[in-house]
Amino acid sequence: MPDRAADTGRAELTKLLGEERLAELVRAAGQPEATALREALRSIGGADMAAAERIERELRVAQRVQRSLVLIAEPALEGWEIASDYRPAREIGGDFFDAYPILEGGDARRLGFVIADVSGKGISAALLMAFVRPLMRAALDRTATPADALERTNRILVDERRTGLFVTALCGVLDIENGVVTFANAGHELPILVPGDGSPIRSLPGSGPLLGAFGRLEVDDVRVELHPGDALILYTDGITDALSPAGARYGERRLLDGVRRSRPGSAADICRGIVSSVTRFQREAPAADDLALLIVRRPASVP
Amino acid sequence: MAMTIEAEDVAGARPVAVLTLAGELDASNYERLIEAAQAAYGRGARGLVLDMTGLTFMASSGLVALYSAVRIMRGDAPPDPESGWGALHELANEESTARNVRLAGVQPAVERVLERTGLRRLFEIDASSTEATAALQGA
Repeated sequence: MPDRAADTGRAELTKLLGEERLAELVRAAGQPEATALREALRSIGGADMAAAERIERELRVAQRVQRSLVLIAEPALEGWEIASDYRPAREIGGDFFDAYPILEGGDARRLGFVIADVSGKGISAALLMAFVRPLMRAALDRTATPADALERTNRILVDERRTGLFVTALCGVLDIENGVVTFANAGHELPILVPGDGSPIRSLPGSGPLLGAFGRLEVDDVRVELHPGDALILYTDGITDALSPAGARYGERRLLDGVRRSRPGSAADICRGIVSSVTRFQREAPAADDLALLIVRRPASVP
Repeated sequence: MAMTIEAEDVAGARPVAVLTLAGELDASNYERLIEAAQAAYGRGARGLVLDMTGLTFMASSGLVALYSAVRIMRGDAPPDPESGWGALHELANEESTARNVRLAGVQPAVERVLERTGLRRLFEIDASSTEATAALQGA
């Protein structure tokens, strides 16, 4: 929390003093950067403090807007469970997910889903996320396959919207009648398939370059069938990169082991289990990155 | 967590700097790698070897630093991470010119991130910094 003032202050102070002078001040202060920044900000005086407070207020508004953009109304689909969680590392972040019924002639026979991570944190990442999210949804709605949707989004990012940030994204379509998932992956963490029949949990391979970097992605669609009891876990690196106070990373192995122990549970159980395991692991250590999690599960028996 | 960077300059027709990285490259320290690459360029280096033998982890922010290093060694200003992408796909369009930065001793955890994100194709990877330096000084 106290870092918000420091982040706001950093931008303001850079403007006022220039990068070099600011770095010097921070070094000279011999304190953690956040503390030094706050002190420097205080010493500048009233007028700039007022400006900093105004920026802080606007940041809080931005945070609410951004949360409302990320959080989804988990769609109720008969025979399917969807659960999600989202924890930004700072007040606003660059991770997002989406899950929504694709309407065709009034019927929702397919569920579209996306998970993505804009590299970097804070306002610039959040703004790019706000741009990319609807773009991905529209692309997935209008293209034949998820690979085409990623290709289209990539082209827009490369040709028209050049930012300094990296975007990894995975999107897919679930046929809610036969359980077939088709997805494509642009540099994102591999999704995890949790079979309901007790066979081994596995990561689903198939990945192309991240979005915005290369003219063509040339990414392939991957097909997998979700049987009753199966769950698909999509996540961002805020989970695997989470740091313990002793400096260990949570890592993929802990994630897989945790999921293995928790099954068979509902999508919400799996989601809660992962988040509480990561939270316990981090304890009082500050979150290294945004954390986002989306789980799609086909219950073993449809009531 | 922590990452150390040791710099060593290798004189030659093409001056090369070897930056030996150890520890974990992540959001808390990737800017230091960019600064180290800039300092090496300032000392006259026109080729860069990143010796990653001791680098056990790289978060996605590390990719921004690697990409910045390529730009710096080309004599461009390092990209402002808050602004343009332009440079990266310029780079991607002429991948062969990105060969002024070579990676050495890349550990599996780091290589996986490079592979998964498709940025592996921007770099030559050598077994050791000696080989990487020789390749840059180009027999």
